[in-house]
Amino acid sequence: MRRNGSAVLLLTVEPGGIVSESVKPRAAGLSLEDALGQVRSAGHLPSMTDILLGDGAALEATVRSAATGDEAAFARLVADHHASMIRVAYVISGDADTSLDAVQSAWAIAWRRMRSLRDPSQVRAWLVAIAANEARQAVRRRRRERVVDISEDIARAESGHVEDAADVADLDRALRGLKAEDRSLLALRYAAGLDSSEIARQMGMSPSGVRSRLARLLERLRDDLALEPEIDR
Amino acid sequence: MNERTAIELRVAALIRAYADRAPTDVDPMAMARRAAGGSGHTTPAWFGVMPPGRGLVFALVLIALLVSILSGALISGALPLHRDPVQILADRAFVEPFVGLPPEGATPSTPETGELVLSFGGRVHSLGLDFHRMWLYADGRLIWKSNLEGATGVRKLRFGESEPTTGVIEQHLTPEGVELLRSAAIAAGLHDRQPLGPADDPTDWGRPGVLWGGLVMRDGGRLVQAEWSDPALPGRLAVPASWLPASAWEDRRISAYVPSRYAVCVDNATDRPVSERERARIFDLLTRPMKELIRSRAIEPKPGWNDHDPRCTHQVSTDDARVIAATLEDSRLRREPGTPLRYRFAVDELPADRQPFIELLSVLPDGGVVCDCG
Repeated sequence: MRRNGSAVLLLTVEPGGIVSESVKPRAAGLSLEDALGQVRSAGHLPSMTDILLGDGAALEATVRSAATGDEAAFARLVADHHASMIRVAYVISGDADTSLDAVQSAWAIAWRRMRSLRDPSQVRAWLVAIAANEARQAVRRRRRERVVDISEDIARAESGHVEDAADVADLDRALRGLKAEDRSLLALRYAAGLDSSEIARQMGMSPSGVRSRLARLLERLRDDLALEPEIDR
Repeated sequence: MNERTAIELRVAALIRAYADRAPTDVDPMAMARRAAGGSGHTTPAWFGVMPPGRGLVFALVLIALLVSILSGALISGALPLHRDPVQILADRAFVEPFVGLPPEGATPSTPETGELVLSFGGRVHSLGLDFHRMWLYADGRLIWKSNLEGATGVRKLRFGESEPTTGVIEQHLTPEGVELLRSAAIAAGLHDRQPLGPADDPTDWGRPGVLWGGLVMRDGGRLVQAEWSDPALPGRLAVPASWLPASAWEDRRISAYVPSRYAVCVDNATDRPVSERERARIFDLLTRPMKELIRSRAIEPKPGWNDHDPRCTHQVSTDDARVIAATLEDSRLRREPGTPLRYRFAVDELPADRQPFIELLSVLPDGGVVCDCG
């Protein structure tokens, strides 16, 4: 579906981390101000909130320019989306070099196929989906080529908070026990912050299919990481 | 906060912490130049294969080669000719492809049910990553729907702001054609066959020839999802008219697939499954006769490739679907822009694009569902 117009991205910080909410006021028949007012009145704004206002028309112009070979416009897309892509690739590959290679390859694919992107508002989801796929394929190649030394990653994790580092190291082990496809889904949902409908739209599957698969993965990670829920009391 | 939400927040935080270790520094301009690879983007990708300084000669040779291949293919009947699709077919009524409900009086596809032999869906690399779905039945029906730009020879439809789509198309294969398609899949190196359950989604990442896709096949008396090895398979399944011989076609001309039944589905676009309470609230907006009708048409999910299963809990006739659609149109529900048969409920505390919705989807001969939309 084409959605032109301004978009509001709310990055809300909660104890569990950043939870993103996106609102497309024009698609909902609202003005920007009305949309913001609705979100505020609905209690979606916690104490720490960073509001980024993205101009849909400017985004569309950037995408269109990039599609016609404008390197400066393409560089703006790199500046805006490279971090999301490499974070996704890293969660999938668990390796810095592999994620760099995968995202470089993803940008080359994006350059060639930018014209096939019909809905510029979907550019972020489209780019991280390509990065995820490249990372998954890189993991497959890497399995054939070499054994990965993860000691550096563990050491880096352990340089931070001891408890968090242990959890992240456990997560590293748990992720390596998953299929790359499942890591892709987790990365798109939790590292890139795509919701199930965005993932579904990119992948041509149903939102409920995405949700049921994520639910199974959460169950598995809960067991693998021996997570106990910290339920509000 | 329930237990699952708490676990999900914890996992999300861990994954974000893990992702923070990624090396995110980049020089955007350098990366853009590297991606461009020093070649002009406005130059078509295939042009890059030309030797320097010999472009014209190379192009002429290429054109001559293409002409010879195409003319040979057309003579042998290997390529589709869609010159005159608007006509009455010999053995079935032609229906112009549509989005939404079929035109009044359109003859439904027969028979109402059919045994699924093969089904494929995916974003196909060789066709520009657009999404394609196809279902092949033992009785020869080939039903498909595509967003492929220009690859199918069928004009594209739009409903409001929807993505362009062919609509759901029906063609007919001979028994030989059914076997050729089935054999093509088997020859692509099928492996890791897994039984398909009622709520399984067979699509997955990066299988050969697709960004995202999957394949379901009848194996003995059951449906299985399978991996394949040949990256050419998705393209062959997406555009079989490009390689099947004339003898494979009982009727190659295209017509809309007209379903006999519609599934009534309730879902939402959030990460929380729709509750029975929400489902009941949506059904309560319908008139009493409609509520009773829908409730009497409950179905059991079964193996297949269903877009919204298990949330499509009921099936109704096309006539009843028309009445339900009219009732919904008159209700206080809002039809989602770009979708012909999806109506959003209004929950005050949720953003507009995350409201639960009720939707009518075409039922395929095997009981699966597909959206007659973009």
